[in-house]
Amino acid sequence: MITEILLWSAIAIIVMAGCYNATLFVLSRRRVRRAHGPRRQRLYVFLLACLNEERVLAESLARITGLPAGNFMALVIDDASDDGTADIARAAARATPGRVQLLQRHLPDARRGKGAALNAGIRHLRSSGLLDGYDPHDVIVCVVDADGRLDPHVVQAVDPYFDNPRTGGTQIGVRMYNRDKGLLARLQDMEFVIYGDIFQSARRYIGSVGMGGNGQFMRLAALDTLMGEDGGGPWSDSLTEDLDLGVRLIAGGWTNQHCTTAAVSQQAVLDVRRLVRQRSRWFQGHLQSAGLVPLILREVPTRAAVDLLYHLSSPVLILLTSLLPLSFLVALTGTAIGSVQAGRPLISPLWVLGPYVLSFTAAYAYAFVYSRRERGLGLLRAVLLSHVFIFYGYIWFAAGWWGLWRMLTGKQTWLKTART
Amino acid sequence: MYGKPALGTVLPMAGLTATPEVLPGIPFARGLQEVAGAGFLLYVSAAIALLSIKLWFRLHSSGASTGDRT
Repeated sequence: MITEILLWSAIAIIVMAGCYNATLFVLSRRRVRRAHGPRRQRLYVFLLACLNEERVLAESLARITGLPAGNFMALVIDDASDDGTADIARAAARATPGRVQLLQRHLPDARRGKGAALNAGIRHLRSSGLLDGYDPHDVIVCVVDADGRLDPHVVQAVDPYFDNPRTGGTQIGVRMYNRDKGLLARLQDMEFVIYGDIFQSARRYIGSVGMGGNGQFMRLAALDTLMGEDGGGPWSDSLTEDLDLGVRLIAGGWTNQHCTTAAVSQQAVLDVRRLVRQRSRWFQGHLQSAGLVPLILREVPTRAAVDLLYHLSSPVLILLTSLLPLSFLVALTGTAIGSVQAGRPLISPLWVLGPYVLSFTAAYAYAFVYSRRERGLGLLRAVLLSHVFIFYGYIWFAAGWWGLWRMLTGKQTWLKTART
Repeated sequence: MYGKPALGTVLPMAGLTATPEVLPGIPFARGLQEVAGAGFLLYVSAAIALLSIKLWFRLHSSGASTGDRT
């Protein structure tokens, strides 16, 4: 009896995740009605936290300084780079006076994580007088990775969201600019499109839109409400400081938005080992975010709180679910051996049908969503690709156990993902 | 986290035409599923506890705001 209950409970994990994904897919297809306030002239400040980014920074700055927007600047925060990062920023500042600023951090204060670098950037904006005369409600801070290539129309796409005075942050879509460089890059692109176009889009109705580390636009007045008592800054030292900040914005009464009409393109990781390591870091950061649970219970509205609790608990579900493909693999091997010994196949067609339905139904929804972003791909190729994508998701299993191991052994430091 | 797509997977027991116990590895495979199931029951218990706390906070805050108005 107990065995039966446990086996059915294992199935319930899949059913619950399937129902959740299906619900969010349906929600994501609905149109959004935005609340509007008066139009305002706003200052956009792009923050680029950089540690040894000479390979990619010049291109990103060229994209930013070439934006067809009126009032904006970029602040490069050089986190004690060993390479020519600062020189590239200086050259961009000379070429476009007033558009690019450089803040150089030095050891031992530097290299304490992305959150610390961004906090230093906010402090510099205040102390340098660059924001003098501006109302913090009309200053929009955007975090861009050093390899981030913003769509040219990004400011025009994001700006209307901030007409609603309750909007604290707006996340734009994320794409991979090197998605044509092989299957792994293509699958990462698909992953981010699905996350943005299904999960983030649906969360606009739930009130639980998350912030990402790249293409994250925030109202300065909202960031000011997240300042710690020590005056350190709005970003925490979590490995996933973006997740942390998004939740604290919602808890502070702000609304997070997701903009589907503009994106930032970043460099996909082209090596499986580095990809697993990157995801392990995210997984470990996600585990650290369990500390946000009391805040969510106290401060976040119920519907958004339920979704955020589910989101924050997904590492647990991933670890539990990782046992099931392993179970399947062991059973498959055992049955193959048994079939050889018995001299006849011991597997009925249900072996194919049942697992296929459970595993790959979602692939059709993913293919539909991705083919709308990649018109040249075609629906059929998108369906085939999304079947591979289901297996690609298993990377999280390896990343999850690695991240858990690092957390249990007290390892908190991570090398950033190298550019190529 | 972008891990939601990973949460669809397969069941090894469906479709067997032989008694599972006679096949090598099947008891171990079933054991793995039972561990996952037990973990999920714990997960659900924790979720119920957290949602109860959330409900308590909600009732408490609505009661407080009602008190303010009267």
